[in-house]
Amino acid sequence: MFVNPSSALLRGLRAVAGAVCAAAFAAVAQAAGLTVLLADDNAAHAEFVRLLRESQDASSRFELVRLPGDGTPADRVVAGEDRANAGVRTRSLRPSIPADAPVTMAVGVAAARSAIERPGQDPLVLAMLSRLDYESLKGSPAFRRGDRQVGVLLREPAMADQLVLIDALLPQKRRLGVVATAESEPIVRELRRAAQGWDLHVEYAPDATSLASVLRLLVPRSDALMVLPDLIGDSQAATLSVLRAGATAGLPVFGTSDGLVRSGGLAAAVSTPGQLAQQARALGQKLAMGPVAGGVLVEAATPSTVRVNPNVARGLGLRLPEERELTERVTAAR
Amino acid sequence: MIAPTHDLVVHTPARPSEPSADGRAVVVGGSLQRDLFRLGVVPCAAVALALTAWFTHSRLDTLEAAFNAEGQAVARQVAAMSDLSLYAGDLPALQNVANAALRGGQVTRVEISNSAGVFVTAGSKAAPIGQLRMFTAPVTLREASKATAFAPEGATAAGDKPIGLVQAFRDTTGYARERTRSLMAGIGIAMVALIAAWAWVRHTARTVAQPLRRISRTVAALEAGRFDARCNVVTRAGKAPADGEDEGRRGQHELANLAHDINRLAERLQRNRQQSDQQVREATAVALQRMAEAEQAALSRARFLAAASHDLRQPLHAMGLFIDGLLPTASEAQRPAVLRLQEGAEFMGVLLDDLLEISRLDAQVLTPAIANVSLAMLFDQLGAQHGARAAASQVRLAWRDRGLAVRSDPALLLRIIGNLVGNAITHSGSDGTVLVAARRRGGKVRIEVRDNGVGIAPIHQARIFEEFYQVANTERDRRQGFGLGLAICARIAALLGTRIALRSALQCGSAFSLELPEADARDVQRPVAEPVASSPLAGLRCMVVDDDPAILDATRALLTQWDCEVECVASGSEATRRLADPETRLDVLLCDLQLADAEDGMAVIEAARRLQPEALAVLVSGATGPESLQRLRQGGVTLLTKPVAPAKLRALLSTRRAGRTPS
Repeated sequence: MFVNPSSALLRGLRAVAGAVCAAAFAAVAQAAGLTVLLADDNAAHAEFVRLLRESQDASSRFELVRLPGDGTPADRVVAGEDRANAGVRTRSLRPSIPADAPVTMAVGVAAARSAIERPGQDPLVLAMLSRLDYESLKGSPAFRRGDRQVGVLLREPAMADQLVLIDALLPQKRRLGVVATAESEPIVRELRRAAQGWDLHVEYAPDATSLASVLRLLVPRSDALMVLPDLIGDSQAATLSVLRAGATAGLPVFGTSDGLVRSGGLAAAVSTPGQLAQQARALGQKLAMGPVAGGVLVEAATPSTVRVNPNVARGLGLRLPEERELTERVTAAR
Repeated sequence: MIAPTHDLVVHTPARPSEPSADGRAVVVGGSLQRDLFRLGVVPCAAVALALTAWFTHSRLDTLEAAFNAEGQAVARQVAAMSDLSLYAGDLPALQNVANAALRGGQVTRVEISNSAGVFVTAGSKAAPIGQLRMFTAPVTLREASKATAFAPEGATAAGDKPIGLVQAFRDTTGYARERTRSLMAGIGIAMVALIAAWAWVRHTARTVAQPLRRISRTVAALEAGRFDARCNVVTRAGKAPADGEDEGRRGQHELANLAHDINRLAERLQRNRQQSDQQVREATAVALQRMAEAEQAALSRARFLAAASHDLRQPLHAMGLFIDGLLPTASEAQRPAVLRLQEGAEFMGVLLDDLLEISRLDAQVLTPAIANVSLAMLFDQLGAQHGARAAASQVRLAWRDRGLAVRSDPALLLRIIGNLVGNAITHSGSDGTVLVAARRRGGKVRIEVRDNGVGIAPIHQARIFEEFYQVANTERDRRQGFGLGLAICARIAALLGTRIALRSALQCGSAFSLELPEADARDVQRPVAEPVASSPLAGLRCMVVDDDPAILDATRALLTQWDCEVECVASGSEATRRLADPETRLDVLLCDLQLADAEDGMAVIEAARRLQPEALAVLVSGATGPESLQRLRQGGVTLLTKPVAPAKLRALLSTRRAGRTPS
């Protein structure tokens, strides 16, 4: 519910993404081959793949490989010069693989886990991962192979972007309360690094289903609450608990997803699938152009827009700038 | 007996002749069965109706409460589910919540709204608003979250403030149907209970009333005299309580005991009835025997009186005639003795007349000739009769008729009043006063004869109407009468339909009175005064028929003295022959009733009427028997009763002579 972008929004963003992709790839004379690994039926992943394919140059190769649950390649869908065949299984019509810088892109954590365990020399882009997905993959021994360039594109924007948004909405409120679990520690560390000048209160709950006591401590000491993209942010019940606590106490709740804003959060800086597709393609190009330090390049999603819930703002008695203005402020900060 | 004897009696008040113990009548109505029926059905009906009403009311209240609670619960549930979505303005989520609420089927429409313009509705709007009932629940975050502790210190309690409203609409069609079904079920249960109570009470009432009705019928039969009636009421075991089983009776049905007691009472009554019937039969036989004896004695007495009267009259009649014949020719020395003989014969004649009168009255051969009688005329006659005697006794007579008239027999009434006036004159001392007054009294006329004489002691008052009873005449002085006057008066008064009343006290005089129906004085027929001629009887042709030679001789001598032409005949046949002789012209025929050789004087009278129609036929008889008197009365003959006073005979012949003169 929280990760599925609305189709209406996607339709609007599709044109924007297409224009941005055309401008970005116009400078790249050569056309690189792209192999996309998809291991699940996540709607956001499918949308991501669709936008990725639409932004693919017509002369370059685009191969979609659907992986089963165990990671072995099951079938391939190749799209290329014949646009009419796009989205159709074309195993028998396998085009010739271009020799120049082929890139493999795994969408989602399941595909990413399969991809890093597969042999190969191609630069590997792991897209649509959450921060916790990345942390779980990072411990895998196959992740840091020296013979392969790996890029990771996180689907949420960076905590610093969210703090910029909070600062834009509540310029006088510096006390930010965060509920976290033990698994959220990398995100908390990132938040702490970004929250210079903020009065950050982080309370750790035993798990995502036991938030009441933590919230009871946290709410009185906070001007706003923040839901991290961790186990709490991924759990509908836990997110609703935080949202209800904030609504009851009259505190605005910020998050990292569109769904959270729709369900009661005040605002969130989010990235769109089109934006992510463009960023993933650019990341692949970066990896193809040369080795990166440490072998792994990690990027957070670039925020493309700001979502604000006007009902919540009205309920809290806040007068907020328009979304466009906020988006400009958030994107300008980068 | 107070209770009604039949169940169909509408109102049977207690009989006034049989008052209840406390003196007041107990009024009952209807029947015992109906009373028992009411006694049972009314409480049952009341309880059944009350319980049914209460249960139905509770059931309807429960239905109402359940319906409302369900609708309210749905509204609150929707409010609880939609709090955060409404807070966030999440319309799809709210729509989902509303649709989810509809899936339960309890509500037909759900509306979620807030003041910010959020309005989500789900469900059909086809149902008319009249069939829908609305339930509202405010949407509050506090209620939804139950996390009031999240509110910061000093913060306003945002959770208390509603952030929106949920309206749930329930269709009342099913609820109304259920209400109707419950109501009908309640009414049905009540009806079943009433019918069951009615049937049971009717059975019970009949069980109680039937033996009572049977007992009542038995008592009524006993009252009507049918002592063989019995109550056939026994206990369920079919055993009636035996006599003396008082211990056993306690455990038995009271009605069976009552029926048993009534049966015993009926047996006793029957036994007593049989005994009394036997006694009555015996007493009746004795009474009949005595009555027959009394009748026989009365007949014997009447026969004795008749025979004695007749046998005494014959010689007395002859004796009177001889004395009258002797008196003119008697010497001075013989004359006092002859006068005493004449006086004694007259007294004996009067005595025999009185006895004959009583005999006639007892025989009831007299039929009063009722007519309007003017009391003024009556009193005038009485005054003429008694004036001389009263003057001789120095008694003043006063008459107050007041112009009244009565309906009565004038001759009999004259006899009564005259006897009473005569007695009053006798018993009033010198300078006494006798008042005869009439006054109107309640449609009747009361005639009173009052004197201021010595009066009658109470001890004698009850007996003075008996025969031969006289007050203060112990020596039986016949000049004071024989004591038969009042007895005759009492009998005549009874014949006239009245009675003689007496009020008297010693030294205060006496008052005899009788009441008669009043008549209009204007309707009184004036009698034509007959001129009384005192012309001489010389030349009057007379025939005397008698089988007694002494009477024939005496009568011849008397009539000869009166210068009459006399022809004496000793038998009826001879007399008839003489009457048939064309040469014979008679003015008077004097014939005895009982002639020799069983000849009847009536036949001679009949022959004289036929052969000598101008002659005066007079029957002379001493017979006083009721049968003879009745026969003579029916024959319509002129009768002279022996002994015939010479003056009476002379007066009769004088009227004949006077009657012949004009012709």
